[in-house]
Amino acid sequence: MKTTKSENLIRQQLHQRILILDGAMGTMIQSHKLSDADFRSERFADFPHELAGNNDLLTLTQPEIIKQIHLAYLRAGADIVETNTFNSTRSSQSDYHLEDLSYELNLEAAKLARAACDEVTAENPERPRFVAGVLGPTSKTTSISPKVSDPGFRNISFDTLVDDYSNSIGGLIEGGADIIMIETAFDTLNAKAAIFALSACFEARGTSLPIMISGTITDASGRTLSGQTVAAFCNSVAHANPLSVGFNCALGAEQLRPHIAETSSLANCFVSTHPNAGLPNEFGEYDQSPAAMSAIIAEFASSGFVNIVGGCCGTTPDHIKAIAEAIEGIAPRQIAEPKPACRLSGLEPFNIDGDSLFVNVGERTNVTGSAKFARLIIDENYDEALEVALQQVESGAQIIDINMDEGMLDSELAMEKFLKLIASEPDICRVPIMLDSSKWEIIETGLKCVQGKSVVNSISLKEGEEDFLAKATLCLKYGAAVIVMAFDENGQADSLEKKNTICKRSYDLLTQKLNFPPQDIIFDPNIFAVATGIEEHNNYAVDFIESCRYIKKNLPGALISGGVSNVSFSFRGNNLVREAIHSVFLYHAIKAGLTMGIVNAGQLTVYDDIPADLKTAVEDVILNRTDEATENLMAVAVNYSGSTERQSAEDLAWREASVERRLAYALVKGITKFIEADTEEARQNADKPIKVIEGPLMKGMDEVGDLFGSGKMFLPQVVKSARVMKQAVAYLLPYIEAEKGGVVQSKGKILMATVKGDVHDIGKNIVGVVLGCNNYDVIDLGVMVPCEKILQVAKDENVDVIGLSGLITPIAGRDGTCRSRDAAPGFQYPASHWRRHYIEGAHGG
Amino acid sequence: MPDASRSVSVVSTLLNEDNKPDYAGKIRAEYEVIRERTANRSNKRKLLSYPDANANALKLDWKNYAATKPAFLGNKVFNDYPLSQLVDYIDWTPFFITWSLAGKYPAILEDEKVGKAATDLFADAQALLKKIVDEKLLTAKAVIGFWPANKTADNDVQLYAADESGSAIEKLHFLRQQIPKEEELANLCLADFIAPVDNGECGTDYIGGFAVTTGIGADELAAEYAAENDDYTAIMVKALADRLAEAFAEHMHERVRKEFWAYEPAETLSTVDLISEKYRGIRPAPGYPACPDHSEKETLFSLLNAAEEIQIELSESFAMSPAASVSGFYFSHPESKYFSVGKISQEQVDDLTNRNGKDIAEMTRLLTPNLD
Repeated sequence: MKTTKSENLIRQQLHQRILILDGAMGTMIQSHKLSDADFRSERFADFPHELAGNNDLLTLTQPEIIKQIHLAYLRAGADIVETNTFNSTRSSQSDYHLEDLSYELNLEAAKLARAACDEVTAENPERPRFVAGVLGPTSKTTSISPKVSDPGFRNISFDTLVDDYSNSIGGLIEGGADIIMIETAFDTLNAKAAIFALSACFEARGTSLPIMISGTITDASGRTLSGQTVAAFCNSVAHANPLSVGFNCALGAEQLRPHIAETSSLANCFVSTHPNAGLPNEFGEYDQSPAAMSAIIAEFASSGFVNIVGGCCGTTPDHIKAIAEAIEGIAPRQIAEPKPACRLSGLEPFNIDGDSLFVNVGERTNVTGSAKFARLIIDENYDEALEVALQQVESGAQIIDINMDEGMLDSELAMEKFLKLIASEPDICRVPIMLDSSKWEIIETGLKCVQGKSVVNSISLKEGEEDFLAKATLCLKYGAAVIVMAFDENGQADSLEKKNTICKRSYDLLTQKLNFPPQDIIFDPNIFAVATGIEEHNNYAVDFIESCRYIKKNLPGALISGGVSNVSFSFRGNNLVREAIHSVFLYHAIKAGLTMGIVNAGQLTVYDDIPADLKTAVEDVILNRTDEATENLMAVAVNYSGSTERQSAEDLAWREASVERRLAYALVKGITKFIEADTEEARQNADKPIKVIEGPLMKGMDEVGDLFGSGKMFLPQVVKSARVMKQAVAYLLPYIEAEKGGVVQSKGKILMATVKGDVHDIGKNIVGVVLGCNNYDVIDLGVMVPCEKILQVAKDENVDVIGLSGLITPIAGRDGTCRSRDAAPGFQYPASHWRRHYIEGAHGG
Repeated sequence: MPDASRSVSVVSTLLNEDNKPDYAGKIRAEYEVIRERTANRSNKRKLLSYPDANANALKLDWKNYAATKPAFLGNKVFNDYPLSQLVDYIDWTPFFITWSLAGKYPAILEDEKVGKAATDLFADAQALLKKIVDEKLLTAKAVIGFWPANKTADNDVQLYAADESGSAIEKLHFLRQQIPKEEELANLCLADFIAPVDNGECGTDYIGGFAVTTGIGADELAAEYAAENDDYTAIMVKALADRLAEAFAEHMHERVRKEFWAYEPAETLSTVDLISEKYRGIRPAPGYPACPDHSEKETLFSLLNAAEEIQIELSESFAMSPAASVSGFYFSHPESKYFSVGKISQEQVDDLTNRNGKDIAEMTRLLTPNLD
């Protein structure tokens, strides 16, 4: 790709001094107090829509004014002027019904700026002036839904933006721009669309222009509107290889300082900033003076933060003049050289370098790997599907792998929908995404939905070099790291030698032909299942581990990944053994250089915690140490079969624990056998009997509650636990009363009754038991209770909640009456009302 | 709230000052949506007029029908029925639902998610059931009856004295579907399954009724366990009593088909097939979709003399006590099947009160769920 002469000039200048950007166009235009007719001039005199305020249109209708503003800034000392095209994309002009004018607006605006620059350069050729063609952010967002009730909705697509930007870019380049500036980016995905358009454009022309990328931090949170932090933003746009990166608008110089400081430490390109003239006052005007603003900017400069400075909203040629004078002679910032790393991002940055620990990639949001997740997506139960993703992140997944490859799905649609929903869940999308599919189209769809820097899983030489390089090129254009499988035209690499050869070939092709940054290359040398009983497979784990060693040594900068679950495939159904296999495998693979693995985050056993006999058996298999390793492991596995919480009837080991642990255990397991003895022991240890309830017993019930709430325990067990609790409390009651040691502060009083006319109470009883053991006082009036009695007792006992039960339909009316009387004066009680529905045929009443 | 297991979080949300307004508001909003949706839904489908619905009654071929005469007419009481005979007729799936475990029996015992909990629960249930049966901790009673009957007017069934004198005794009043039906489909009413008065050659037809209970002693037994702070077993007692009552209804219905009415003397169906209703004839219960009018229980109980004979009481809302009781009618026609009356018009309710002589406000209130 060729670069232009002006780019070389610009870079030369930037190495020598800080360059000055111009100030606000809008402020200057406002000072002309233009009328509606001025905006229209002759050409649009009859245009049927409102045009006042369309500042970009002035390029065509008042070119002299625009040119004069450019000249004013140039003469004030600006090195770079921005074209009057902030709103000139099709999408922005469609607000004025002038989208078809987009190309012309960009073209003419660039020409105007060009003419102004040429004029001033002619006056002083020692100091050339440059035109920055501006691509504004548009008013639409590719990452955010404008509809609160529909988080998956978008008011514009990536593809449409790419088209719009391409159209603008054509005009800007044709009109003579030296630089293209992506400005005021508040949605990074919009900026990525611009970057994509630019790379396609440059590729077509064979020549590139330098790109400036400036984002906007919208508030005190220090993030863009679409939620990214400064560092995440920088990671997301780095693939553009920009001339400079920085921030403008929204904030005054002082407020922008910390963000510019941070950018300065991260960016291995130049840094720019053009803040507003302070924050708006109560009239919405900017009133920071040139002197005040320039002083702050000068401080940036002397701190070594900046290479290009200017002003945004509220600034004037006076501001630019002051800034130019204030930074005169101050040395420009030295470009940072952060150490090589794979720099990914979600809403937050995630960098993997030589010092990083093993990276967990969550595997559960994968329809091919999780029947549960597949079911959720097929049923379009996206709420619960999002829960799976959230759970992975909360359990420690640093990246989540999303795969929608399932015959029953429209995979592209599912991928798009899921990603768009994730974009509105900051707790999930704070981590980077790994886009997983065997079909490139689905990966590409995904890339158009994610504002962060993602990982493409995967590409390979399976379809030959050309296809491989084409896909890798797209990864560069979209800005993604890439997983390369050890797969070539002859198939999957199944020997150590083939793995190494294919990885090396891939590495060389990527780095030499495409200049692909090695830190963004992640090799997957293929993990295969071991202990399958087939002798040829016994060395598979060793092959993988050795391949890691090879890659680390010979393919510098590249990372290594693997789908860990594959290795234990032979032991499906025995999770305990599978986890032990994963743990041992990872232990050795990480030592050999494995960087990341696709795992079930939250279910990784610690190597040291594996029982010795199991560990040895597993290690023999993984490292292929003995010929009988598989048989041996199968034998040992029998002792570890079943659930990880295997509990034999005779297992009394728990009786050795402390009395608190014994109480909690008995509650969780629903064991009444020893409850009185243990409660008595606890009572003697405690200074007050009430403490036994408030302490270990409530703790046990909390544990029950958590297990129940997370779906690990079910209602019958909860009721059994309640039984244990009740017996323990019953045992303590006489002591508590004797002590007059106070009452356990209950969470609330609840009155329950089956209403008059009905006798059904199983549901009510179950609820009463569950609530009672969650520290609510339950008053149960039984069945056939008249409304008046319910209300009377409620008043007398000052209850917090009334629960009514009724099964048969005739009482439905009664319930309503009871509840509306509830609402009568004196009652502030919510009434919750539930029915149990019996399904079967003939059941009386 | 869909089931009891949600109770704790619901209550704590309601009691949390911060969450309550949102939560309560959200629930109100949800119900508002449901109210509106239901209101709109029923507005959309216009019902047939009551006369039009009657005109579209099911017309069975009575000319060629030979009604089977029951082995006896009048009532028969069973005191202290052996529980052991009922155990095999238990449908366990609803039992698991009571305990918020989702799944069909027996597959639920192997279920990936709830299999272990279900198996443990089932083991406890079996143990308690054995104890109940062995120690006769619950008592089962039943009364069944058969009477000559004919369909009269549009939707009534006139019963005649068991001594076959032909004198009219009680009348049963049923409701007819009013939802517009497709071509060839009738607007059903249970009365359609009984031969009409002037049916040509069919002669008199018959109808049956039953009331069974297995709940005698259930409250006391449950209370005993509750007093020992064993709510788990107390709840289990009631759940099992309910299952046994249903099983008793199923078992009795089988005996009716084979022995007492004997219209299918050679029937041999497995429990699974029984649960799937593969038999001829139906046993609809008042309050259930085919005859949503709970007040018909009064007539049924009067016919069977249930309160005196087997001590089942009816509450003012027609709920049976003991709770573990089942009652209903027996129809034997081969074409008889279960259906849902669905939405009806006030016109039909008015006509019903003309026929049954009950208070119109009361009947309207009772039939509110069915009223458009």
